[in-house]
Amino acid sequence: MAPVNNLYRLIAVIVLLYVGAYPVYGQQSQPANMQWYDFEEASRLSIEYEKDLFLFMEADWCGICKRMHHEVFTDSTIQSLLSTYFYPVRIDIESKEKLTFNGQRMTSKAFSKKMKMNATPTAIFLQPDHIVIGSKPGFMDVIELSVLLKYIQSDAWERTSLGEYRDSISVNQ
Amino acid sequence: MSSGSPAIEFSGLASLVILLMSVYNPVLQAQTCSCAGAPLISSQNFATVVGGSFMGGLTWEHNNISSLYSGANELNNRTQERITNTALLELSYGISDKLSVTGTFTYIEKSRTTGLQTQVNPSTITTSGIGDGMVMMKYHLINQDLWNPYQFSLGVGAKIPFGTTSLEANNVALNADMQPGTGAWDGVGWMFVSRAIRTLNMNVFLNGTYRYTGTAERFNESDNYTFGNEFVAIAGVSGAMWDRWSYDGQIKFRSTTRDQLNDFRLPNTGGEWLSLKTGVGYQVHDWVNLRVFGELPVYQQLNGTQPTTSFVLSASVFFSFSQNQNGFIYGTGE
Repeated sequence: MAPVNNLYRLIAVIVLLYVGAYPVYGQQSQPANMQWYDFEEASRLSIEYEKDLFLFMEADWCGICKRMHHEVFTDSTIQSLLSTYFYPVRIDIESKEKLTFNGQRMTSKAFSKKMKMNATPTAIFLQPDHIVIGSKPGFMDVIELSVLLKYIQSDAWERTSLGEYRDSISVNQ
Repeated sequence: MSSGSPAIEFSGLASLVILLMSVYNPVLQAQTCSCAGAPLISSQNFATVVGGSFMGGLTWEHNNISSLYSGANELNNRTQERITNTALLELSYGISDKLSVTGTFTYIEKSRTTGLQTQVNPSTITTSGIGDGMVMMKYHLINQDLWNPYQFSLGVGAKIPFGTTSLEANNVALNADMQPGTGAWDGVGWMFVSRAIRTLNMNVFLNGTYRYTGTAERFNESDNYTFGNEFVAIAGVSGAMWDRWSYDGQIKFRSTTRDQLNDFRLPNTGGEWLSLKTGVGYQVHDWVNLRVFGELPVYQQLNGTQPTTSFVLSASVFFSFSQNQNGFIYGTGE
């Protein structure tokens, strides 16, 4: 095999790979209308209606966060669970916008550091009085997030670990 | 060229690499040596592994060595062609957030076709077997995280001569460059620097690896072969294209000193190479990633006359497991 031909073949393979990657843009479904609240409003409503807060900690540059918006938050089950049992809030971890947490005014960035975040996205659950129930970093698909939402909503987190709760659901199904 | 302990030889290319190092600061990919056993020296894909996490990678690499160069000039009268296919299994475990251990194991197949222009029927010799392995300890002085874009890691390790060096063809021992192993323990030093540019969704990185080669004794110690010391520097950029797709672009500099047989430095060995490498990745699952790479040499300055790489293709599957993979952190984790 002549080296020149090899070179052309290699270039062609690489070009095809890059080109092949881009049609994915057009295949993405647009995020359906899901109601997100700002932090202040969600905090007020959570006290009034005794529902927990679901904080989706994200960043502009976070590709996995965008994937969750496209693939997970568009799902009707997820939307139903979130709107029924939680007040969902999107927080840009690098934003300088201020929010009030436990009586303290701070930027979203300062809040993210206070929550000891080390990855995006991270889902954080707060009780109405802003006590942190817990968090889960990383991508979650529809099934994984729906299990987590039910785990928090049913207060199972007070009695058992997430893994045991997941196993019990699998057995019951 | 003086005899004695091999020392790294640099030329103008080294200056270019140092200049590039100052401009660029990860994801590392396997580099194929054209002759010295398995392509271990820059096969360290996992720069960092979080404490308690485990990462693995399986890479297939095809190195087509069908060009012939004398110095920096390509020759058209090549008489042989070589193909090296290597499977690399890389396993890495984070002992803590500061310290990780990596092991790389290989299986290698080499073929050499001779008599391309001089004979009617060129002949091909193929060898295969378990290649050498490598173990490295990596210490992460600065760990990149959400709030710190920089990473700086250092590593030391050893190349372990698992591969055989005694394969024969027609009852004649094959040359060292056709053996799956090198038969020698080598010392390896490694460094890695990177910086995340969040706004551009990319990481720029630089890594350097140096291998100080040992000597293999074959045929009742009458044949002491030492492959040349090797230095590889890679500067590159990687990032997300869209959704599950990612890209990777690298410029790679490689330099080796001449091989040595007993006290004699072999004239047609060693040199400097500069190549470009690019690839795409696809995140199949949260813990599974696929990558395909292509590499083309853009310049080489070789000692004497040597067959050298025309192109390299590689494909990898990477997987990772974390203690907290499915975990829920209660409270703020304090």
